Amino acid sequence: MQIEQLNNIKNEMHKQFVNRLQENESTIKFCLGVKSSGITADKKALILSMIEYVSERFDNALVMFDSDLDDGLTVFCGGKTEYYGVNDFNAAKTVVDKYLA
Amino acid sequence: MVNLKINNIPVSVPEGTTILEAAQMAHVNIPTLCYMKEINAIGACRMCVVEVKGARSFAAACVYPVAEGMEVFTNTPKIMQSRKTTLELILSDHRKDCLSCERNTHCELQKLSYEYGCDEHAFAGAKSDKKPDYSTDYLVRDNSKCILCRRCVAVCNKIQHCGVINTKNRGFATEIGQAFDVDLAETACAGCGQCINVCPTGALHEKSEIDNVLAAINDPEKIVIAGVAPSVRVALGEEFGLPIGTNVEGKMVTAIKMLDFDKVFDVNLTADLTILEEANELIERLTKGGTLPMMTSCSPGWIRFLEYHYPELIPNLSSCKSPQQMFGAIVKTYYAKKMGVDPSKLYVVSIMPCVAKKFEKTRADQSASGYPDIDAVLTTRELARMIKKMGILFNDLPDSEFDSPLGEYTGAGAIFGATGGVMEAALRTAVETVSGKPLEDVVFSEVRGTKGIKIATYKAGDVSVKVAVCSGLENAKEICEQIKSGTCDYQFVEVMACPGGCVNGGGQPIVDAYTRRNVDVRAERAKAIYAIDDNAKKRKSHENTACELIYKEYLVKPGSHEAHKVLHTTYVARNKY
Amino acid sequence: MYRSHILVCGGTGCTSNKSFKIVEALNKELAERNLSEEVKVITTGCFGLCAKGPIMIVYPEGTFYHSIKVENVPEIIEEHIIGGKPVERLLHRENDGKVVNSLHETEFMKKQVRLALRNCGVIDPENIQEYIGRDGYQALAKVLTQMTPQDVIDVILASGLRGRGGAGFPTGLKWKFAKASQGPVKYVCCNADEGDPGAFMDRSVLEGDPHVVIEAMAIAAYAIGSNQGYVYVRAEYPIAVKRLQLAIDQAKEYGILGKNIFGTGFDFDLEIRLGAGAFVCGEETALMTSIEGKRGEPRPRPPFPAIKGLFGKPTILNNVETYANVPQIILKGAEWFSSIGTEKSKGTKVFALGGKIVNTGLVEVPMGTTLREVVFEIGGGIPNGKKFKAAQTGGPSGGCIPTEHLDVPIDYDNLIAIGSMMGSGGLIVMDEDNCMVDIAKFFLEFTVDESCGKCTPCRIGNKRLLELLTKVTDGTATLEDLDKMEQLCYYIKANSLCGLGQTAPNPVLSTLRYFRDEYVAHVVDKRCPAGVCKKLLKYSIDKDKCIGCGMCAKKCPADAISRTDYTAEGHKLASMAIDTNKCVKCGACMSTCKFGAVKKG
Repeated sequence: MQIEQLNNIKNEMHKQFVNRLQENESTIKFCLGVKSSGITADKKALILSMIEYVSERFDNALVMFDSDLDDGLTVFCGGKTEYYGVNDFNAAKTVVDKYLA
Repeated sequence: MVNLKINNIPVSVPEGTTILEAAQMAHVNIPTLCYMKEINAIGACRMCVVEVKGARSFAAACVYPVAEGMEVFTNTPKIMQSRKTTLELILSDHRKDCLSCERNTHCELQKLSYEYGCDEHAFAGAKSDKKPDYSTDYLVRDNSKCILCRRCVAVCNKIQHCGVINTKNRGFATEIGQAFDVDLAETACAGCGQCINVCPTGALHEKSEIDNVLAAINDPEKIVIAGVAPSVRVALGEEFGLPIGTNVEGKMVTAIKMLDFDKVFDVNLTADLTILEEANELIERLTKGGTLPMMTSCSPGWIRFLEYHYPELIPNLSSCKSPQQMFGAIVKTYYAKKMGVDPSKLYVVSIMPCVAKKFEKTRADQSASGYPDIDAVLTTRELARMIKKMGILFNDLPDSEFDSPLGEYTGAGAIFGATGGVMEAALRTAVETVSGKPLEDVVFSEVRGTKGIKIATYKAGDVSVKVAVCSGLENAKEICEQIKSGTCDYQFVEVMACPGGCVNGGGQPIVDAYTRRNVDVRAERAKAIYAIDDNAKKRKSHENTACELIYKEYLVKPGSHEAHKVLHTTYVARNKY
Repeated sequence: MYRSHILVCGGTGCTSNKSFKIVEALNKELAERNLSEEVKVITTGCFGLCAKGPIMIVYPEGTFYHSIKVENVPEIIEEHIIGGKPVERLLHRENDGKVVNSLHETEFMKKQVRLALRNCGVIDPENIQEYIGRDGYQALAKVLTQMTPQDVIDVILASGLRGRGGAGFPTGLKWKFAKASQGPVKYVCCNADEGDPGAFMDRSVLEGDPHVVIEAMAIAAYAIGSNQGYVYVRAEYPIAVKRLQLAIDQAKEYGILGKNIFGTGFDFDLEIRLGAGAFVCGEETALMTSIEGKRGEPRPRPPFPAIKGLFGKPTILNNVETYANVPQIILKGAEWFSSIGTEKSKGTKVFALGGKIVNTGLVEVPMGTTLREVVFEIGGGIPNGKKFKAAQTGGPSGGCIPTEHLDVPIDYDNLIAIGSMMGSGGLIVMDEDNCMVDIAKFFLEFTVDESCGKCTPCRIGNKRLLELLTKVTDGTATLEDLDKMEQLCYYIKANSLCGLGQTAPNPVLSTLRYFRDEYVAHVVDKRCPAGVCKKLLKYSIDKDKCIGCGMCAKKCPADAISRTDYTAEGHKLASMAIDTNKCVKCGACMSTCKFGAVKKG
């Protein structure tokens, strides 16, 4: 195996490690509110697309359901919390992109 | 060169020298128990501990290499106390029947315990439960006296390549024994007895036949005949405080006569006889296309080794009996007839430097007269013990000569005791016979010496003979492998099981490890053997008139039908385990 | 992509608690609920909090479930995975009852710095890709393409990494000596024999992150100029052996072991060699002798293995935990590593906490952490409200640390100064109910059984030492015996051939040093203060508490209890009394008495 292949596997696995590791101070957490709706098929589809999207852009992030939040998206980053009233993937993408900077 | 200080005495030694060796150069002796030069250096017993300035713990001098500027202290109070404790611990698990032990007065543990003022009850406690092994005809192992120095294991594995004994169990239950806990008699033990020679205590010794011999001597119905091997006379004196390599033949014969043996004959004679038969056999094989190389067959330890490990090479062995067995055979046939005595009344005792000979006498096809050729075998050590026990003051004895008609020998017979001796004796006869011309020089120096394997080529008339001489079973194995794989072109091979030949046999006086550090025992004894040859009037076996007479009156000629019946034997393949 | 991962511990401890059945149940339940595409179940290595096994962690929340049974699985799936709410009842709680949501927040984990155990409890050890995903084999790649062998040795030297097997020899120095020796054949060995009773640090690394050992050994081989390695694993670790072999096979498949690694021309091959039940084979030279196929006995040194080791060739032997630190040192640098720990002991140390402690398990702390922090904060203190008495480090080679030294910062040199040693990491905690003489006897019985038998001081000396110690616990010793014992200890230490013998007397010496009063009580008063040594136990009846019901006498198998003439104030029947000459110390009377009138001591 060449080193290039090693790095390819590493990068691929980084994506797989989203929602897999312990969080620390630098973890960005994207929390989807499911208190009012419960974990529906729609919410599941949304979270899976978000996980896909986030994993390709961040090395240290979580995308999880929040059973204490009615709906929308709360983002915890660098000690600060921000709420976004988004409920679909396109809107969520925009929010995620904000944190890429 | 490395410079260091031993007890503040500066010494300068080559790199790789151990502290033990360096200390000797400063005239300082460090005690050892498990160390034996060229055989065992494992730092196990901890007797040789010394303080090395700056080191974390004590160093074992027998294995610790010197370094530039090292400062060694060999007898500080801490070290002396430690050594004393080590001995007391060994003694706490040692069966102490010193008063009647084989090795009383020449036991290495006893000697050191005395030097260090040990209290044998200092560490009283549980004893490890070890059962003795009496299973073989030739040696006894008593593990209740074993101090686990591993010297016997080293000699059996590293030197003799037999590997039938090793360490089993662990911790306090550690014991020297055989694989799968079988008795020694069930293994491929060659019976060379080298283990006995290196044992520091009474854990290993030959199976004694002294009582049987004394009983025979005291039996008015029996005529007890003694036959003494070449090597006994150059070592027996050591048991009486004489220097290593002293020839005590004269005193020895007197002593044996004083033991009330009816006749004292010389096995050197049958050594000559062996040569006459074997040289004839060799010439037959060389000229008529027999199995080559032919290999000598006088070492029973070597024969056992071959029967177990290389039975396919049995056809290479000479069919001649060993001098011991020929002796018994001739006594119970030729001599019995000559004296008009029924062989059943004869009790033949051979006195040998060997323990394997105790087994050899029980071999099949060794009863020329219908009775076993040999009735008892005593080692050199057993003879000494008998002499002391019967109150014979050996050192003051006058010299005597062997009895007739079986007392004459030539120098060729005498040198059987050293490695290369059989070969040289055979060459003297074979070369002269084949070339038809008297030998210019009877000395064949290429086959002398203590090197493991010696190879030489000689011309006998138009015939060229390539010979190999080896001693020690490691070298025997090497030669067998060469023969098996067809990578050698020897025609005649002499093999002795014991390194250095019979002078270093398993039945010879035991020399302690310290002396062995400084004296080449086998070389010193061999020197005495060759001196006998140098001073002998006759030096070729075919000049032995007693042997001539045996053929004239009885066996006709070497290789005859009669000779084959009496003086030749067979071998058998044996299974290891 | 999965929205949730459930990690279940598959270390030996949790496996013997049938954690694999929990994994089976999870997979079954997820399949039945059509969640297999959303939720993944992963078996990992040891999380460390073995007292609370089987352990399960659910991500992304990091919810920490403990003592899980198969019956809990449907509920967890229903409430947590499907319903989004963790099952409160099954969550780990601290000593004060406070619920902890994530493993990181526990008192157990807070002070730990997991370097050697970095991947344990995180990755699936049977999947090389997960290791690679956590920067696995990056260090090897860096070493082979950007560093010279000397560079590697310089980094390891500068990091201050010392052998984690117990001796604490500077790893960089060991590699330096081996590199300087003549090749071309040299060997890299890993000591995974882990013989100390109660130690399971190396086992956890091998079960949870076997690739880190492979990577480190390849790096070491490159540094010293070797192409062949051996991992000597004790045969009593079947899971570790299985996972390591699997890892080796996978590494070979991926071309990370074998010829021309990463196309750099460097060859390295690795094989496992199994132990056969001998503690002494954890000793460096005995281990090598064992690999050579001979009886596993130590050899005298010099020559040292770096000059003449396995098969007579230059060899380095390092402990599993030592190797586990190497890849990170390469990637993050020597300065990073040496910033952790104390001046002379850099980095962290893994400890296996056992004995009288709430949180039995595996912990990894920076050097310099105090014993107090390890026992009372991370370890959760002593159960049942008992008092701390001592902690034993270094197993049968180590010594005990009493209360007076609780605040000593743990590092190699400090521990030796107080009469103990770091050892491989076993840390057994003892409380007021432990007899220190009995503890010393326990360890000495072990070393006597494991002695190889080669040298006199250990083979016979330790046996006699044990006999003397048994006299003490049997109540037949004298004060002279105590002196004799002490002298014998120093003799054995100074004269033994190898580390086993040299350190076997340590538990005796260290308990004598700090708990001499207990020894004296056994010898002079014929009394065991902790009430452990059977032969010294005296059962007695408090005549004022005893109401005279006589139940004890009925239960006594030795007919040793009879009624006295004494009737206590307010009692109707006369009290019972035990005849200590007849008493067999079975304790039946004590367990029968409902009035607490039977005393032991």
